[in-house]
This record gives sequence, C-alpha cells and structure tokens, in this order.
Amino acid sequence: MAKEITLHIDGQPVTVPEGTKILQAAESIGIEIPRLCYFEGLPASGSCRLCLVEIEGQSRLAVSCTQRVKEGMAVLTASDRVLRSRRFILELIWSTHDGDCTTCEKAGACDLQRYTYDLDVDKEKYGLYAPDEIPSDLGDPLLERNLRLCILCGRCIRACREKSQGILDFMERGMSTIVTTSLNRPLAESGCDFCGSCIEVCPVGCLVERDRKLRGREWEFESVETLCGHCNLGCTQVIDLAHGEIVRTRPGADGYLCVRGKFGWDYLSSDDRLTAPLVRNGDSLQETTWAEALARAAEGLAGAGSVAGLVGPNVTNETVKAFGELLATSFGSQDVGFTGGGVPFGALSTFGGLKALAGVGDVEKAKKILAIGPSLAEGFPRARLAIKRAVDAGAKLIVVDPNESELAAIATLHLKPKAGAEAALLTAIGKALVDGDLHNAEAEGVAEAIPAIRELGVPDAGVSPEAIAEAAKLFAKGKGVVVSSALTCDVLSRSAGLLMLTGRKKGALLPLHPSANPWAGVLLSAGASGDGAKGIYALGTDPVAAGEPPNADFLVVQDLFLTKTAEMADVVLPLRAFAEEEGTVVGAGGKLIAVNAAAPSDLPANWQILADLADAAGKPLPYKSIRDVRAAAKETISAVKGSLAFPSMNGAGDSEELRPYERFELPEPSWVARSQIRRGGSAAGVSEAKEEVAA
Amino acid sequence: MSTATEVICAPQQALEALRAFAADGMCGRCIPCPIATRQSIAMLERITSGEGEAVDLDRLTRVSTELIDAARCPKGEEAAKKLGEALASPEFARHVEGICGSGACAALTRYRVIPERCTMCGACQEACPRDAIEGDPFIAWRGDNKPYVIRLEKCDGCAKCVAACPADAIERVT
Ligand code: SF4
Ligand code: SF4
Ligand code: SF4
Ligand code: SF4
Ligand code: SF4
Ligand code: SF4
Ligand code: FES
Repeated sequence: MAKEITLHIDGQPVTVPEGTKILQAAESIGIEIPRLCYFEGLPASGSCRLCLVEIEGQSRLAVSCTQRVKEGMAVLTASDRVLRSRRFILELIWSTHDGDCTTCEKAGACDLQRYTYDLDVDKEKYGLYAPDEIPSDLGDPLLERNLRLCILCGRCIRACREKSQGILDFMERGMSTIVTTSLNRPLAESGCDFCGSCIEVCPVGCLVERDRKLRGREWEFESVETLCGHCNLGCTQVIDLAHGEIVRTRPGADGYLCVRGKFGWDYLSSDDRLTAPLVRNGDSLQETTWAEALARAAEGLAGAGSVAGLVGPNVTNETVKAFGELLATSFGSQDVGFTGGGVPFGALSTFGGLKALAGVGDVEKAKKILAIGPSLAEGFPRARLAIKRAVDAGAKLIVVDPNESELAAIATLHLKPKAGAEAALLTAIGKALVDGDLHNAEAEGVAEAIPAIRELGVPDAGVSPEAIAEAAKLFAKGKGVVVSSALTCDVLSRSAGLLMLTGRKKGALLPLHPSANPWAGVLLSAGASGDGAKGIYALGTDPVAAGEPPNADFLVVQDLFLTKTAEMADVVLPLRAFAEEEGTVVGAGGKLIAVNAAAPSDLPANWQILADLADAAGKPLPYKSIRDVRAAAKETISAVKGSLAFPSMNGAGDSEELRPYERFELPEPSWVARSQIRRGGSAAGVSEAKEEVAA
Repeated sequence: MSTATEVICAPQQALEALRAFAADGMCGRCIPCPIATRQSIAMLERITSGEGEAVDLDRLTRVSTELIDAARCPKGEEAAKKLGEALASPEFARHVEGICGSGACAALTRYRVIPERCTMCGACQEACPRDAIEGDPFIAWRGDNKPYVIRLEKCDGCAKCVAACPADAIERVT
C-alpha cells in the first residue's frame, strides 16, 4: 500500500497515493487542468507547458503532468499568473497553427479549440507564421496528416512507440521541428501498420481518417460500442455514425484497434451487400420478397429428406443457437456443422474447457509465452502488442516460427522447425519436459500420461535437442500462455498438452482466429459433417471458396455477399453482419461477452430471419425475443463449457496424421481499392460493381 | 573614418542574441520556446528594417515576461530574460518611430552632405547605387555649380557614399 499524501488544490483538500502527479490528483476531485501533450496512458513529456500550476511558496510554476504531489502542498490551478501563462502559450500555438475551425474535422472534439474558447484567447496576437512549404496533406492512405495543424505535442510519437511500430519522431530541430517519419517518408514506406493509434491521441485535427472527411461534424456523431469482429481477440470498438451512416470506428476503453478494426469497416456499407432475398429461376437468381424466399427455402429443405447446416465463425451465439434449433425443430436434423473458414476445430472438442482459454490480459500478465505460428504479429497486432508488453515487463518469450519475424527479434528463444513440423516440435518439448522432470506431477491427468510420454520417440522437427531442452526449461514454470496463429488440430492439441503437463489450466491457451466468434459453433452445434445430406443450409460460410463445394439437391445460403456458394444456391438470404447484431460471443478469454448492434441495418435480426423460416416451415422456434435465444444459448454453453478435457500428449491428437503445414493467409488491408471506390472516379467504380451484382 | 557596419544598435543586438540561441542553444522540445523565439526574431527583423509597429514592442515585452514561466529549460528562460533586459533600452521605441540613431539599421538611417566640407569631387554620386545624390562636379569660374545633396526619399541608408567621400563631408542625420 503506497503512502497517502494530503495536499490542497484550489483550496480543496485531497488525499492521493504517494507518487501521484498533481494533474491526476486534481482530476480526482474534478478539477481539470488543461493539457496538450499529456495523454492518460502514455508517458508524460512535459513539453507543452499548458498544465503549469502555481505552488504556494515556489517561485517557479510547476508542470503538473510530471510533478508529483508532496505532503502539505498548496496548488493553484487557475491563478492569474497561471492563466496568463496559459493564454500566452495558446497565443503562440495559434501563431503557427494554420487552421480554421469552421471547416476542420476535429472541431467539437479539439482540445486547442476548447481551451481557446475557455480562456478567450486572442488567436491573432502573434499573427500567423506558417511557411507555404509545410504540407497540408502528406498523401498517405487511410489517414491524412496535415502538418499545418500540428502543434508538436508529441502524443502521436509516444502512442506509436507504445502501441505500434514506433516510426514517428520529431524531425529536424529547433524552430523547424516537424513530427513525421524518418526522412519524412510516406507512412506506407516507413513500416506503419495503420493501426490509427496516433489519430486517437492527436489533440487537434492534424491526424484524421480520410473516410470521415466532409461526412459530418463531431457533435453530430452517434456512437455505439461493440466488439471488433475481425478476429477473436475482441478489442472494443466504437462505431460513429453521422446521418445514419458509418463514418468512423475507433477504439473503446482498451485504447487499441489494429488496421482491420480501425479501418476495415467499409464492407459494412458496401454496395455489394445483399439487401433482399434471391431465389433461383433457371440459371439465374432473382430478387424476391422475404415471404416468397422463406416459403421456397422451407419447402425445399423439408422436401430434401435429410438436412444439414453449416455455420461460420462470424455470427453471434444467438444466431448459431437459433440456427441449430431451426434445423432440429423445423427440419428434424441434428446435423449442424461448424466451418471455421478452412481451419479444423476438432482440437477444441478435446480441450480443457472454456476457462483454459486465454485473453490478451492473460498474455500481458504472463511470465512465459510460447508464440507459435506464421504471421502472428502481422495478422494479430493486438496479440503482438500483448506479447511485447509482457516482454517489456520481463516475460520470457519462445517463438516457434520457421521465419524471422518481429516477435522472433525480441524472443528469448527462437525455434525454427522445418516446414510442417510445429506439432512435432511441441511434442518434443513435451517429452523434454517429462524427461527432464520439469513437468508438474501433481497436475490433473499428468500422472497417467507420463509413462506413455516417456516411451515416445523424439519426433524430428529439425530443431536441435539442446534448443528443445532449453525451451522446456524456459517454459516449465511461472504463469505461462501459449499463443498460436497456427490453427491445426495437432498444434492446438499439443499446445494444450504442454499446458497440461506444466499444470496451467486457466487463461493459458490463446488460439488466434480471424473471426469474432470461432468457438460458438463448437460449443453450440452437434458437430457433424453434412455428408450425405440432401438439403444444405450454409449460414455465414462459403464452403465453395474453401474448396469444399456442398453436394446437395437443395441449397440455402445466407450471407453478407453473393459468395461463390451463394451463386449456386436455390435460395439466398441476406445476413446481418457481426457489427449489426445484438447478442453474445465467446470471447478470447472464454467468457461470454455482449455485443451491440452498432452499425445500422435494414434487415431483420438474424435470429428473427431463422424464426420466420421456422414459421414458414410450420414448426415455429421456441423464442419470442432475442432474450429467449440468448438464455437458450447461454444454457447450452454452460452445460458443455466445463466438461471438455485436456487431450493427452499421446492420445487422440497423435492418432491424427500431421498435416502439411499451411500458411495462414491474412486479408490484405485493402486501402487501395477503398480509396479508389471512395474517391476520384468513384461513381464509375460503384455503378460497375452494382451492375456486376445485378447481372 | 567610421563605417556603419561596425556599429550595432540595441534591437540588432537582441536579434543577434536570439538568432544565436535559435541556432545553438535551443532544443525545440518544448512547445512555447521555439515559437516564441521564431516570433521574436520575426518581430525584431521587422523593427530593424523599419517596418516595426508599436504593437510589436508589446508582443516582445510579453514574450520576455511570459516565456520565463512558459519555457521548459533555463536556456529558454535566460533567453527571455536577456530579451527583457534589452527591451529596457529606449532605442526600441525610437526604431519604431523610424530612427535607428546608430547607423546600424540602414533603413532607419539617413545622411547629408556638409556643404562647408564638400570639395565637389563627385565620388559619392559615383558610389551611390540608388542614384540618390544630385549635384555637379566643381568647374572653376562657373557660377552655377549645383552643390551635392542627398535626396532623402531615394536614399536607403547604405552608407556607400560615406565610405567613398575623400573629404569626410558626409554625416549621418538620423
Ligand atoms: S485543429 Fe482544432 S483549433 Fe485547429 S482548426 Fe481544427 S478545430 Fe480549430
Ligand atoms: S497508424 Fe499506427 S503505426 Fe502508423 S504512424 Fe500511426 S500509430 Fe504509428
Ligand atoms: S500530429 Fe497531432 S499528436 Fe502528433 S505531434 Fe502533431 S499535434 Fe501532436
Ligand atoms: S486485433 Fe482483432 S479484435 Fe482487435 S482490432 Fe484487430 S482484428 Fe479487431
Ligand atoms: S565625395 Fe565628399 S567631397 Fe566629394 S562631392 Fe561628395 S561630399 Fe563632396
Ligand atoms: S547612403 Fe547609400 S543610398 Fe543613401 S545616398 Fe549614400 S550611397 Fe546613396
Ligand atoms: S500537459 Fe503538462 S506539459 Fe503538456
């Protein structure tokens, strides 16, 4: 317990822990000291001087964002001298700030604007000195950098350093200082990963998302918080709407989104989205009414004899539950399969319950991290950030990746298995744990597994025995997690095996998946193959694109777009996207997390469409509202979540053949396409796309 | 014989001090100091080139007092104090009124030919880049020699005539 310090701020007594900064102490009693360079959560730099306060008995003004409280201090946050100094600084800033609040995107949310108003600052006091050669747009994709508005507070530099690539800095010096990349190269050539963390902290309008430009003022925005749906790490995401349209997304409380969460929302308002049901008429699909489409789907599925369902990983638990219920109740089928977009999920059915799943918080607190798989850092930037933070805090990192990578560069140990030998390497580490008596003999299930593991031959993974022994030693003790972007059954089951051997049962395994809700299907569906079924209903999944075209007499597809599978369907139904749905997901840490319908949609909720289809089939679902579905989903998940056991090192996992190692391809950030659609030549691009859909 | 370039007036001294600070002492890592320095340099440049206004003096005074609090490091504080000391000189107000008084600021300095000393050699007229000197060379027995005079409205105070005059017959009037 830190010592408590009592001081007076503007005459009010306040008691805070030792080490608190004056600015925070003031904030704790509701006194906001103006600041431009300080940003909660970033290291303080003390450079803007706006937070100066007067301390009784001290001749110099004090920088409240860096100065700690002292017992008995008497602080004045708005004395005449302090206000004079603040106005002076703001006058100076305005003399270099070539901005006009009437057209600036930041107006309404701009700190400079607010303080200028609050302190009635004379903007023209020192005239304007902004040489023409300072650029008003550096021409980067996705975000505009208008250096004519930059006030050199340095927040973006610190945010980029703390959360991302650390590519920004003060360049040149003295009076010609600017904030930019090294040699003022474009962001895309400087290693920027377009996380947008810099935008989030900029106190003025210097950094702005291109997509939001001229689409509404800050005070017109309506904001709803939900989870990002682009991977299972579940970053909170705020979606801002203006005039009913999405104009921007930004991070919620945890303060971070990667490029997909920050900029990957264009698909939601894409003109290619399905907005009305389609039914097959000979060779073509024709738009029709919901009633007609549902009747056709109900009739077709009922008439098919045997029905199977396939559901994708990017819908809520409620959708999965209602889908399973629809197939069972209305079409008498228990055959609901789950497609993870080409990723096998069998491993999870033998995995030790939801509580064993880790979230980013577990990774950040870990002391030992085993990071497996390709493109882990690039594909899952939030996982990279968590791992980096843990390593900065002293964690030991073991990277399993045949290639060099950003994480390999900061790893304590980098193991490079030969192609496809990740799982073999994990088995070898497990054996080394046992052979070296480094395992946790007391942990559940370990004693029984040991004899068989001792018998195991050491599989050849192309890694030296010394390195394997070192990995086993490194990983054996302390809070440990396995983070894997390699989602093969073998890798996941052996990862779980390693965790079992070392007695880690809670918050220990983080499989990374590029969808929001990858576990729901496993937990909520019966898990069948669809083999031999004559009627297939594919919801939010595109088996044709995954190379497994469904072989059915009657095919219903429900999706966001006219996918390859939808093109061959008999009935196509539109689907609400993840961001448009209220419901729950099984989050990365294995917890149920509620999500909101943050983006607007004219479609019925997904569960409602399924309920309507059940009605059309004459066998209604037992749900009256989304709450009923939620309760049912929760019940099913609770029933199964703890009953799953760890696989053994030599059990089911080993009986599967090691499959060739597949590189997990990530969606490219598509800003080129986006900017072409959104900007110049937009009309042609969009109408062409429309015609394609219509055709 | 004195040349104007060796002389330095108080505003120029302040300007040089700030320029030296900007080039060497200042780090540019706090927000107020570099801007204040840049603005002060711009104001002093105006003042020493005859474009200064009374409001510039107020602004400079404000910088010199406020930057002491606002600057992050003692270097900026010291620069502000030095500026404040310099501003105590009455020369600043005179510059704004249009007079340098030391010959340092060409734009605020004017010359005249002293008729009693002038030998009417014409060297100044040759030297003047602005064609600001009128007069005819001395020709004996002629009664209507035009004496040499400097047209103040054309003169820009460069002092080339002063250097050129062999008779030391040109003096500063402001
Ligand atoms: S950055 Fe702020 S102060 Fe500057 S023009 Fe924009 S809104 Fe106004
Ligand atoms: S977008 Fe992210 S990586 Fe790029 S400059 Fe901003 S903070 Fe750095
Ligand atoms: S770009 Fe914004 S955050 Fe970065 S230094 Fe300039 S004003 Fe500050
Ligand atoms: S890390 Fe995952 S959840 Fe977070 S913003 Fe990126 S894609 Fe979305
Ligand atoms: S140079 Fe001197 S002496 Fe010669 S004409 Fe001019 S003022 Fe007279
Ligand atoms: S000071 Fe310069 S411009 Fe003026 S008269 Fe003399 S030479 Fe000509
Ligand atoms: S907020 Fe304290 S110096 Fe900028």
